[in-house]
Amino acid sequence: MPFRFPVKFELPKHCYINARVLKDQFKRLQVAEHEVTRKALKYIARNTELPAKARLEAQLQLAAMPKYTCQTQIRDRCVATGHSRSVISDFKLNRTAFRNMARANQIPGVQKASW
Amino acid sequence: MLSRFTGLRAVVRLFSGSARYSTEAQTASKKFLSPDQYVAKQAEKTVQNEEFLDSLLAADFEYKPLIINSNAPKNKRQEPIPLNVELLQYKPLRLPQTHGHKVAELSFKGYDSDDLLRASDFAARAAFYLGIPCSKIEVLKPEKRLYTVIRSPFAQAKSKENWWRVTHRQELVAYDANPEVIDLWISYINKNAIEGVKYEAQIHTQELTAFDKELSELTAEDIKLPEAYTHASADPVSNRVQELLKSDEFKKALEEK
Repeated sequence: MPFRFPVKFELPKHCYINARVLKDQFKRLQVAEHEVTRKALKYIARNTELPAKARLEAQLQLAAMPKYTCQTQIRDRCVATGHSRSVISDFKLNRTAFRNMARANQIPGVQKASW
Repeated sequence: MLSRFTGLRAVVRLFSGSARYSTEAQTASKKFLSPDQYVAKQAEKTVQNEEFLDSLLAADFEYKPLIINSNAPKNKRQEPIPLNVELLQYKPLRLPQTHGHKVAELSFKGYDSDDLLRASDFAARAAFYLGIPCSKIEVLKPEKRLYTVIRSPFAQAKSKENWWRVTHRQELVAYDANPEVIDLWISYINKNAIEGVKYEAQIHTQELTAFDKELSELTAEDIKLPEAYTHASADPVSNRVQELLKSDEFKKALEEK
């Protein structure tokens, strides 16, 4: 099987790994790498004091960048199970992983609520 | 000397045994105990407390107290206990305010109320020995953040389970001290900070009364903000913009207008 990502990158540490987690990790690293360029291009594209041609050029360059450099492609995933749905962001845990750990008293400060 | 200690109260705090933090004790406390078990547990606790107090004096240490009361209580070696050691058994002493100007607010946050008590107690004592007038340790209302999750890993979403994370909060307000002393106090607290407690300090400073005059004398150039993205600066985005605008593609676009 050919290598699936355009560039080689380091595996994420301290979390559960599956194909979808890897995909997300790749995007995170790429976004971090291209953040400055994207912001600069966006600044040029939206600066009304610059000539329209330069702004258009910036917009075209922005659109030509790969989708995985875009911030919105990143999604929070559970560090214990790799799930992407109903992740509680305070703990980076999916609801079931959160419940299991909370029941085992492994999350500091979290208790069964009663009022 | 004692007349300086205005806040002296005869409230003796029990030392908690170190076994309280073990997981065994935590799981046991969740179940209901029979009366006999409860009595046995309390007895064990008092024994542990005594052991803990003994262990404090067990190690060899230099005995050179600076101040000793004439009627000081004695330890097991029949030496009079130094005043500062004796005072550890009481609530922290406080100095009287001279002007009542608020200088700093220290806030403590944590999930464990015992840790929090240790931290704030330490800060209050340090303040007393540095000569900073302080408020009492104020216990604020704990912050409770709710998490409602579905009980089942799949479907059956009607049955939910409620959890909360309780963040305990305490506050200490310092008055009238010089900024240097406050700096010393805060750095000392920082040096001896406990893990699991979040310390936050809000420091108040004072302006001259002529501040409004200085403000009205300001010219437009004084208040001018640095222009974004025009000069090379520490901002990487600004540098990248300069780089891009100098590149061939953009040069063409800029020239044509």
